[in-house]
Amino acid sequence: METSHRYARLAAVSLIAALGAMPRAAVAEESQCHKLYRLTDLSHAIEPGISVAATESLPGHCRVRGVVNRAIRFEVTLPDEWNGRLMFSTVGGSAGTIGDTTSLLGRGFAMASTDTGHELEEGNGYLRQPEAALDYAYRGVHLATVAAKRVIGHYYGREIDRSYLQGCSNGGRAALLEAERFPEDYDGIIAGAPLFHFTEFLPWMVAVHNLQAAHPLDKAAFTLLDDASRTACDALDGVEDGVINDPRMCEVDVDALICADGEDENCLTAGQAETARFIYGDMVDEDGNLIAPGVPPGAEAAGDWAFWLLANEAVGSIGDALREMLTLIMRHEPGFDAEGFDPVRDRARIVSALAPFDTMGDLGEFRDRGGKMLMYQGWNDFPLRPGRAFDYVAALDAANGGPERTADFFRLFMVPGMVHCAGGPGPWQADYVDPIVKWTEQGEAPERLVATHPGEPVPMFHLNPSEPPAASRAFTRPLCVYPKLGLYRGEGDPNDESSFRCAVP
Amino acid sequence: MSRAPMSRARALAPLIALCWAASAASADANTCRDLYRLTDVHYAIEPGISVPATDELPAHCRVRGVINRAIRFEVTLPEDWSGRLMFEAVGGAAGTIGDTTSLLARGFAQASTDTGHELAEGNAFMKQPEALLDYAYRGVHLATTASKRVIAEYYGRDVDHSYLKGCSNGGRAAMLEAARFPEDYDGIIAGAPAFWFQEFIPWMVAVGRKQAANPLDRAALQVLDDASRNACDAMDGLEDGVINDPRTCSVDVDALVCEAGRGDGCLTPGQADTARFIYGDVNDAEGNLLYPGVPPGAEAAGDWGGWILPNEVLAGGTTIVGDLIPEMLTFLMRHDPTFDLEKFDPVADHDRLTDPMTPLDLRTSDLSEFRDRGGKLLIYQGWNDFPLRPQRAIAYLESVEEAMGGAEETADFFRMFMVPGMVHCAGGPGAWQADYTDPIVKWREEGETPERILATHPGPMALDHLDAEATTGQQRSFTRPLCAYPELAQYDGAGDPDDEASFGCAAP
Repeated sequence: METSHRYARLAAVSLIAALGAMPRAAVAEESQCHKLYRLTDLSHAIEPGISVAATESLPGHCRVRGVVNRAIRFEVTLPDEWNGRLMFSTVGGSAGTIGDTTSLLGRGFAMASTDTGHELEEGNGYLRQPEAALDYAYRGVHLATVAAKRVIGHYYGREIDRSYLQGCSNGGRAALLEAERFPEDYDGIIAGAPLFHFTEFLPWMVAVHNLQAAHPLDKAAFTLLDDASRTACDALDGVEDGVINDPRMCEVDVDALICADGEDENCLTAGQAETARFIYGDMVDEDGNLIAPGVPPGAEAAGDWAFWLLANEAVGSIGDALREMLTLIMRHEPGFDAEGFDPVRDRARIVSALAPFDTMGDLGEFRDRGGKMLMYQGWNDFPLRPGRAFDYVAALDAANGGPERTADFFRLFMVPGMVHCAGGPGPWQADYVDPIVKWTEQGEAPERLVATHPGEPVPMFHLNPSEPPAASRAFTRPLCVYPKLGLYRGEGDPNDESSFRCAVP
Repeated sequence: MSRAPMSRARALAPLIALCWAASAASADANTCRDLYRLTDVHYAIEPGISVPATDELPAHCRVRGVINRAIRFEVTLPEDWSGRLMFEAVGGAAGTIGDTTSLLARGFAQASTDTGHELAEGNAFMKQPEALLDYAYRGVHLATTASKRVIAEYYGRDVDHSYLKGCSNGGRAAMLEAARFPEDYDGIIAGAPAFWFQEFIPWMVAVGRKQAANPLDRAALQVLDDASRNACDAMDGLEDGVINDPRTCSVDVDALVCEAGRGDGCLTPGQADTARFIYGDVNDAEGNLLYPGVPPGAEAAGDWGGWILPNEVLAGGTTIVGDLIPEMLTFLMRHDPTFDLEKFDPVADHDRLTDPMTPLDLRTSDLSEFRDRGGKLLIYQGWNDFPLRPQRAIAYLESVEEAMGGAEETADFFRMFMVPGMVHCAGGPGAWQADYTDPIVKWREEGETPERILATHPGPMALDHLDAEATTGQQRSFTRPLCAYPELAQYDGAGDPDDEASFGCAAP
């Protein structure tokens, strides 16, 4: 049965409402939502949709869930007043849950997300199921995208005008892979702190955890390092605001923090200093070539270092989890030993097994279809260090004929004082949705975005919750297109973004 | 490639006359075996097996397959085909293939599915996202489509009429087919349908808690059964062990509480509380009926016992109300991080179950698409069903009557037959054995609307879903009519009470 045109129906509804028979129309909407199960077929199990009445926080909408190919759960939300757009949220971490499907309903977006084919509570075991691993790698988001578009087209009786994708961390990786591998899926993509390469991320994290096991940094050490960073570098940008605007200019003298004889407080052991130096520094191979860039100084005590380095309730030991992941991914290679894995020497061995997960760096087809990509990256991201993003941009520039050509479809916004994806002492809250929509639909390329520090602690799963809030006042800053940064004009309220200009430092 | 064994058989006739009869049989055997050729990326179809005729069954081809990695199904194809399909939807938690043989001798091709998981693995399938939806509604639909494909391939032509039957969860699956995939079936027999898990599961959890606090044992069930019979058996004009219309019957549970010093043939105050809860209706905070209770009349017939006492066959020695159903609820609620089984309030938290139960539940009284295609729906429901209490089915019929333009309009395509003295799906002191197949076929194909269906009490019979130590019926056999609700059988006051001819159908 063909669905009627949604807008025609809405017009009819308003006429009926004028005549005083609104409840009948509402029933028709509800039945349309309920009957989405009709999209069920051999590859899709679509549940009956549920009509959700408007509340103070959300507009009236239809919510429907389904499963693609036995395992890939997805959810689509369909607002009563639709703006013709889809926003799909890809999930971070090891996925396994459905992401945000509500935040943009009030702005008229249909929304969708997927768990990519496994359930978080079952841990890393999905990596042993061949198709589940590939669904996490890249296929789940693609298949859920196709399914979500089908649901939306069926419900509203017309195709989507524009499709958008947003995600951070692993969700940023998934977003990049969509642009690379299925360039027809999305018109605009917001990729936060993308995990470009597991082949970079895993060896670096293993090396960090090897050192952390030998010479563990604790919370006192994080605070010491944080204080040292701020003392050395906060004022370099002309504003003493707890934010190191360009940490490339910042060097922490770790050796100076080593305990003197007889001293055992507010200082580091020699071993802790070694761990810290490794984390700040670049990891290189035997010939001195860069393998993995280090973590810039500036937000050591903001909860990001602690989350990734210390065992925590949510994840347990991330070092153990990553080693288990390595074991599972490498299980078809006889003789591979995750315990004895040498991050430098054995790095090449894992490249082919991780190829399905890693970005290839070719956005040509996405670019040629008119796709726009907005990337954001915290300067103080621990697991996904900003140096990787610069390398990625440099590779894009080389492939696309220079920075100007690249900037026609791809722009990176560095976020000062932001840790991994969200949080930290800097202005880390920003709306990337309006900018990507305006860029994609009106050709208005984003130059300067306004970002906010909320001024109060926002509890977040991915930060160690016992850490104190990074800044206790609210303030705004511009985010600028890399390589430009927001630079203080030297006068004006430093808590107001208008006192900053975008320029290459 | 399409095969036409019938026409090929005709073409072979002269050859057979010339040579030997085995050729024709062997051609059919090949057609049956070659059904594996339907295998593709979604379907794994086994080679069919030619089953020779036996005393019980006619010769037929039996083929099994798997849809989409998990949904096992089986199709049986009799040599003398009537052009009809009868599909059976399975009860309980499904997980096994249902009946695929009982109607072969009447010319039906038959089919059934386990809906995508295996019973031996318990409730765990509810944690596999698609397995849950396949159990909820999709497995029967996909297996139906696959079965029709197999049948068309084998006989070289499409099915003329497709029928579906099932009881309990199978009745639920059957009704979901009518509502969600109205093009799948022409006629549907739904017994005691569990069409509302959001009602069924919380009520069962509530019963489980009462039973855990103050357990009814077999002796208590016998006390209640005797009390029901004493109070109400004669009300319908016949002392026959069957309470014809339990709506008129009320048991004075308080009068059964042990007086001081008396220890048997009576109930403890706690047991009386449990019994009152089971008989009674549960209302929500606004006083609307949420969970109707169990009518009196067959408390010792094995149905109460099967659900509330330790059950070897269905629950491995645990209880269904106290163990299996709460586990099921936990699995269904697993995406709600705030859900806590211990704190779950069956009344106040009813609405929290809407989300996870939606795929499983009927949630519509609009059967117009099924009706408009000429579909016919026949529900049968035991008056003494414990888990799926009759008032639910009556309320559903009334809601359809409201949505579909009235009782008469509804009766054109949907009729319900209440079965006096029947417990859950089968068994009990009443006349519970009936053939619903002929009536649904005649209704659908000849427009002969079922008004009165002959039912039999076969005497005592052991049934898997009833407490094995219970008395599962009466010693004598007898017949009764089943009547289209709201009519019930009425004794004429004169004839042989064991003969259905002595009863008329009339609204009480």
